Amino acid sequence: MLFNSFDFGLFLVIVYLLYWLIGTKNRTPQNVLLLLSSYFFYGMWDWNFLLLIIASSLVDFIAGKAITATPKISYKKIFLWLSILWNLGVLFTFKYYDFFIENFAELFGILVPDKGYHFLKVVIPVGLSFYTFQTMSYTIDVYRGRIKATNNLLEFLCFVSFFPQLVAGPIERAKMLLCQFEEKRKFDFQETKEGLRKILWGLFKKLVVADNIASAVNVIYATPEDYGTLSILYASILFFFQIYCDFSGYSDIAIGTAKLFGFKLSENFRAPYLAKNLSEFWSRWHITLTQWFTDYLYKPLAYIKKDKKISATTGFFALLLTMTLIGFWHGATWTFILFGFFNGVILILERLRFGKKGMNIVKLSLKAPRIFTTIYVFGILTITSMLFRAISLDKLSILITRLFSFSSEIPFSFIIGAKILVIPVFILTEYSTRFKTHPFYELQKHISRPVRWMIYYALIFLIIRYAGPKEQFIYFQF
Amino acid sequence: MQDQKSNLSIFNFSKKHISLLKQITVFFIPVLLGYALIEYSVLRIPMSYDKISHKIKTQNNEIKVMTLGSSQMQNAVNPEFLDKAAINYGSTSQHHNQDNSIMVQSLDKFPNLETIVFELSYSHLELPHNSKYFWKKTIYLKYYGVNAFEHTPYFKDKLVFLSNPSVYSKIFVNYYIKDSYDAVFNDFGYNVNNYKGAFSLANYDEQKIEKRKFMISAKEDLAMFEYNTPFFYSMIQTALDNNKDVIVSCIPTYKTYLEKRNPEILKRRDSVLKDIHQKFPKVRFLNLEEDTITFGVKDYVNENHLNPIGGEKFTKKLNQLLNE
Repeated sequence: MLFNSFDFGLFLVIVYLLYWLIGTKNRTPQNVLLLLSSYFFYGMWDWNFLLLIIASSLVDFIAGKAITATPKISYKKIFLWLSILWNLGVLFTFKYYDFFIENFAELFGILVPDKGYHFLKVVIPVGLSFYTFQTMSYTIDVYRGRIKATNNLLEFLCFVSFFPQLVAGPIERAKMLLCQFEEKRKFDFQETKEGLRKILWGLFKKLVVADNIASAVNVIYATPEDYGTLSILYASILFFFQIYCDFSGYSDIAIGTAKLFGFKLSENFRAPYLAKNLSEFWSRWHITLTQWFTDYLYKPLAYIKKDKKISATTGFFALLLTMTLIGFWHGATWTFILFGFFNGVILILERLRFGKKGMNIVKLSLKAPRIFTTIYVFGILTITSMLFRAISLDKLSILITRLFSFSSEIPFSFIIGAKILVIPVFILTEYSTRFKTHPFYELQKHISRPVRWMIYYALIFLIIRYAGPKEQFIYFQF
Repeated sequence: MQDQKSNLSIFNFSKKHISLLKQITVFFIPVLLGYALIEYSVLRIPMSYDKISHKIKTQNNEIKVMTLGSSQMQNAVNPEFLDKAAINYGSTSQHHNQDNSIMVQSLDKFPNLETIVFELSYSHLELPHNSKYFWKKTIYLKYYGVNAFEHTPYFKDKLVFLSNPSVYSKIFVNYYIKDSYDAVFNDFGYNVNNYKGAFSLANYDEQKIEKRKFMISAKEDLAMFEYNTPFFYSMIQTALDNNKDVIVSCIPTYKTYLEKRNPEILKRRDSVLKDIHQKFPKVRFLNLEEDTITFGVKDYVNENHLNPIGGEKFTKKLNQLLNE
């Protein structure tokens, strides 16, 4: 059930009405409804994988309780590692197994006869990487003593499977989301309105901007060998906006939907195209994933001893490894690994100091004129877009060759024509409202109701009129 | 009194909540009315599907020939020129998976159906089947009574404008605002005015046309081929199992198109044609793909689509085969 489908709209209306009909006197019936709705929502993709999500939830719930119950650190560690092994094992089996087998065979030059080694060829369960990381963070936080393990299974199951953010995040921490299931919910008129506005803005980003851009990007990326420098450059920059509007649109709908039920989710994006350097970009892009890797991988690697920073080289290594794994998190392909590695290398280069005053690119970019930093960031984003979008190394090599071919076999054209204008309009709107969570935030303070409604009607018209062919959210595949 | 009321109520909505629901309802009334108006207007525009639907409803007992395929088939067969009553289900972007749904779910509707004509173009077997979101499923449901969805359909699945707002917006504007909608359909849903295209724009000047760049699928996809081929065989088998004659046709394409074909894709497609001949001896073929003598530049809309003149020629060839 896609967020941009009529089915989801119907589902949301029914669940919403039932949820508030039940009343707020006791939170348990509301939680039961949310859990059943979430499982129904997830089951619409594949009922079989519901068992997996339930199993993962149970493992981490039990691990959390066991870690709390046992006083011995060594036992705590065992339970923690059992939980981590389970989660990584599930990820490995469903997402990475075939990749490893294939590369192992190629690397060692094994002449494998037909069916000599076994590919699982399983479908990756939707949202696997998201909910696995969410449950893992719970166990680690319990082990670290940052949160107490919950005794309420229902609330924990809700925390893992909460439908607005189940399939593509934001990746929430127990401290942020689990506690909200433990509290009574209060209907907030204003927050509900904000939720609806955020959903509207998210749908606009996804259906009007992302899906229409996709039609141009798909044409060029399908046969890059037919296109020249300008077209590849154009498609790569467009792809950045496509994926941004697609994923941030999804996140907006998720956050807005959660608001309707009285929940607050973390923001996942802060106008990343305004970043002045790549380090800043990653603090604005897929924030919950970056924070996850920072807290659970980078920091433990870069700060082995408490409060004692290790050498710059080890720090850089930690950064490179973290970024490479962020790339690998996206999918089991060499292009994603390269995507992460490339970002890691640039981040290291940005931090290298030069000159007497310990200057580096990050500091320099903060002082540099906006035009230079924009060109710099978009130059990098063009490459990362190609790494992200290319489906194989062969395709990537064609893309890079064509990018630097400085020729154009098919005369360059904008392909989506006037619809391209939606991007500057969109950027201007977001830029002028960049300090708000979404452009319509608290609109009632500035604009009268008739005008507000006209704006909403215009947006709905655009959504219906320019809704492109139905494209699945890009991040669902991860 | 107020307390009593709230205790008796099965709703736990607060005043604010009810106020919000009211606002939402009031807000969406114009949206729903506006949409209903657009949907109604779109349904009034003459369309091929409408005519075909009428044929299905009124002449189902007379239909003896069914043609299935993409826009190439849609343009190539004008049932007007067939001696036997026919229905042409060919439609733009329609692939074998939709052909199969239409065929299977239409067999019962035409008790006297004798022949089914399939299309197997040069690149058919290496192009992916349409996704589950293919917008024409709405058309099939609404006009043909064919459910190609992978679920039990509900009212939304019949909303034509919503199935492809982009396409229908253009049609809407051309028909109601610009007055430039020039499609003229005969009783069989065939557009007899379908001449506008790259070739007419070039005034059928062969030199200009030869220099023209056009899209042709040259990408090999063996995995797709391995999936699509048995699927196509199963379609033929289904038709034969239901005691229907089967014709596999390859629609004519212009010489520049023929030159640009990927020889590997072509080789595989031709091997499938030979294989069908061996596996299903009863199947007949109408392969006019490379007939550059009968079909000249003035028979085409573009490199791989016939215009009504070319369509008439092709249909007459089909008619000969059907009468043999």
